[in-house]
Amino acid sequence: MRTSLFVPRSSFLHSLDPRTKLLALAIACTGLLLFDDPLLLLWPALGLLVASALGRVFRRFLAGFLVLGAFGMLAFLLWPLFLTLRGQGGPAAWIYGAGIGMRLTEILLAGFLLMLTTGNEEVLAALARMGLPFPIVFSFGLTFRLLPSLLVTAGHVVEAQRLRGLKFDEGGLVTRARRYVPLLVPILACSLRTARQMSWALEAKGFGPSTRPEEPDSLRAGSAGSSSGRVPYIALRMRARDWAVLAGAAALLGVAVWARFHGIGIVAAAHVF
Amino acid sequence: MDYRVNAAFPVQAVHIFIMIHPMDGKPVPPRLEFRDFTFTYPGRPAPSLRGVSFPLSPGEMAVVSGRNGAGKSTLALAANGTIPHLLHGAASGGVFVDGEPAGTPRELASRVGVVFQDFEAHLVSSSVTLEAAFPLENAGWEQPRQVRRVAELLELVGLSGFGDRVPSELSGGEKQRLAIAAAMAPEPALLVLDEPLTDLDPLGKLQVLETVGRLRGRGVTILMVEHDPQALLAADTLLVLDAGKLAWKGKPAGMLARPEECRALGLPVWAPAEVARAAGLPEGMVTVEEVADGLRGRAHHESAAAPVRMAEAGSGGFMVSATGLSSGYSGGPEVLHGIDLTIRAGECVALLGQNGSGKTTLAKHFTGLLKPRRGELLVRGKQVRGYAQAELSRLVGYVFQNPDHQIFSATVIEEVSFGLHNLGLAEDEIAARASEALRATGLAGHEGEDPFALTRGERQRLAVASLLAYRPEMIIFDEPTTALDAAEAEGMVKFIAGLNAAGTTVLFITHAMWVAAEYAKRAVVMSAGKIVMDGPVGEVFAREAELAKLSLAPPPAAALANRLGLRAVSTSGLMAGLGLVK
Repeated sequence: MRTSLFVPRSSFLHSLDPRTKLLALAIACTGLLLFDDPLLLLWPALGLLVASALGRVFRRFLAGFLVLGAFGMLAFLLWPLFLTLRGQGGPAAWIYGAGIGMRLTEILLAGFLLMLTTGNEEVLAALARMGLPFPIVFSFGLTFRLLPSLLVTAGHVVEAQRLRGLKFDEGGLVTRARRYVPLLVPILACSLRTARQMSWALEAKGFGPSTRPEEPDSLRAGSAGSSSGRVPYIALRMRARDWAVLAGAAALLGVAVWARFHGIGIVAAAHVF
Repeated sequence: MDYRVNAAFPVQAVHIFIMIHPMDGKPVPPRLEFRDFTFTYPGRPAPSLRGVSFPLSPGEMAVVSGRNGAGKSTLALAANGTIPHLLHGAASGGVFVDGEPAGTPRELASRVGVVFQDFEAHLVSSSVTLEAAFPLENAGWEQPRQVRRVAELLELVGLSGFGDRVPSELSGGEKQRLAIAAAMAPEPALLVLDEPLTDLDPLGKLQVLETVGRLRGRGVTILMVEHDPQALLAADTLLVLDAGKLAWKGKPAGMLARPEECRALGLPVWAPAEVARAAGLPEGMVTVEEVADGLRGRAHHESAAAPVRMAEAGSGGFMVSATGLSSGYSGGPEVLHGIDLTIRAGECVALLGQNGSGKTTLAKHFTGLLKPRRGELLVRGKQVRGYAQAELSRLVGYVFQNPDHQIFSATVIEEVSFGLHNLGLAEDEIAARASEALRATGLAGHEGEDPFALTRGERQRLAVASLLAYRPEMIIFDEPTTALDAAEAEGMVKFIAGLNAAGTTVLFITHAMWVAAEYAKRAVVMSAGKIVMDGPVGEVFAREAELAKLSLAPPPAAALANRLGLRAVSTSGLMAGLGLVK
């Protein structure tokens, strides 16, 4: 059981600094929000396909497309319906719906691509480097780590109580709520026990919310924002390729803004709003 | 100090020898030392550790053993300062690391590595590499040094090539070794392990013990809480706790050679030692090989055939019958491939095999938790699909490995009655069945108690009682002896044998081969989703070479019998075969 989508590979995308990828994602989303022309939006779609190939996650990316594409499809169906109800139906509404659907799918897929090619800890390391305090970032990451073991425990509890005749789908709301007690108590009790041992284990590995005792002065500038004296295993380093990707992304955004102001890539904004 | 047996003397002599530095004659402090350490948990009437004193020399491996509740985990928690710094209570005396008073766990992080009982709680990262690197990141090691050290660590614990794997997807043994790698990351000279072999399959145990052996070879001092005889025999020193006191200290063989002492202190009885003692062999003979050498030529070959317990066909008709059963978890790959298995009413069957071989998956089909994809499965002659869940639950019960996955009530009696209320029985019928089940499991008198305040062994029996109240015809036990001490485990399996004798069909899944040997009549061995052996326990355990290919080994009594050319699986059978009936 896993909750991370990350696919460990060595590829161009994997080799980029996570900060580059986070920034590039932000730029891509901004750029995509500028347009709603389905024809123009084919280009970013092609770009995402190429990027997934560069990340050597092409097949998983396509599998994700099938799931995330459903959200786009929903938008494609709902927008024309909504516009028709407002008396603005017709072919233009369908084109607009297609554009919005594609845009949504592409934004989701861009985020999906980041998750496929960037490990949890890389994102955490990037966030910590960008100034968030490490213990907070770490706790956030730990939540995702604990989910699989929580789900495994929950699975055992559900099986055990099912065999003891617990029925989950009968009775009124109150009866049903009461039926969750035999599930929640064991899950909670087991989780608390694990959490307690985990806190001991973290201390034994030298991790704690405050400064480490050996280095009382380590809240000096330079290590501000992160746990004192902590050196991440993941070496964050902006290399030429990172700057090149960011420069390329910024240039594309510039072109996109220019195009938007010249009315390119817009089919329905004026018509709708 | 209260040494019950004086076998400690030679070890103490060795300590004195080691503690004097050979070059300059200055004394080297023990790596770890408990001095008259006493600790009482808040709200408990009696101390959990009482005046415990012992030194651990650099490079020494000590195993701490004793009953559940004797204070073993408390001792492990005190070795790195978790007690009293994180788990508060009344402490007196002292714990010293390299001659200095032990500080907080964080202060000791680079000197004492620890793996607590629940190794799952140790895994906090999304890859094996980052898990091993975590303590180094906290200790502020330079990044390139971290990379080198992680490669070294993964090699040391046999996980090279696993670096990119996700910890939650590893097997139990692999997770345990990863937890050891992380504990050893900042190169501590002392490693504390709390029951590292519990919950592991035989292969996992073997690999963890090999890892511990490699660490020892590098001079790491080891303090291990464990009651597995394999671990005990590997140690330099055995420390036995009894009701918080250090009741015995010495060479492990010195204790294992005394079956009565082992019983008195709640340790597992080592079958070869029991046989050696009955045969009047000299005391030094403890391992299977040593005892086999001592006994060679003494086997009464004319009686050799007698002690073999043939599989009893069972009195009644078919309880469960699977033909060509193939199955898996929903959405997952096929896990069981063409299983043919018939269990007759009244049989007692042990289901053996490594984790992942399909034992639990197969057993869950008998309760209706899983449905076959292909093939046929009959329970009491009727297709399993034809049963409503409640109907099937009355026929076949399942005792899960961890009782804490089902206990939720405020009192023992409510816990036992829960399933009966779900059956819609009348109140007086519920009361009668509940008290009958509590009596059968030895929990009568505990009705009003809080189930969470019971010991693990009692909670296990409570889970069994909840099931017995259904009066099922067949009960499946999944690892019924996990986390129990020797006495509790023996009580549990004797109870299971009693149920079987009274007519209940029993199937138990176990890694504890002695349980299968002493109490089952038939053993079914699974590997990679198939049944690879099925026959009388004696026949299965005699096929030692085939078992070894599956990384399984017969229990010591059967291994000894095999070496002597006898057909016996239990201690009593072996004694009979040797003409040594007690």
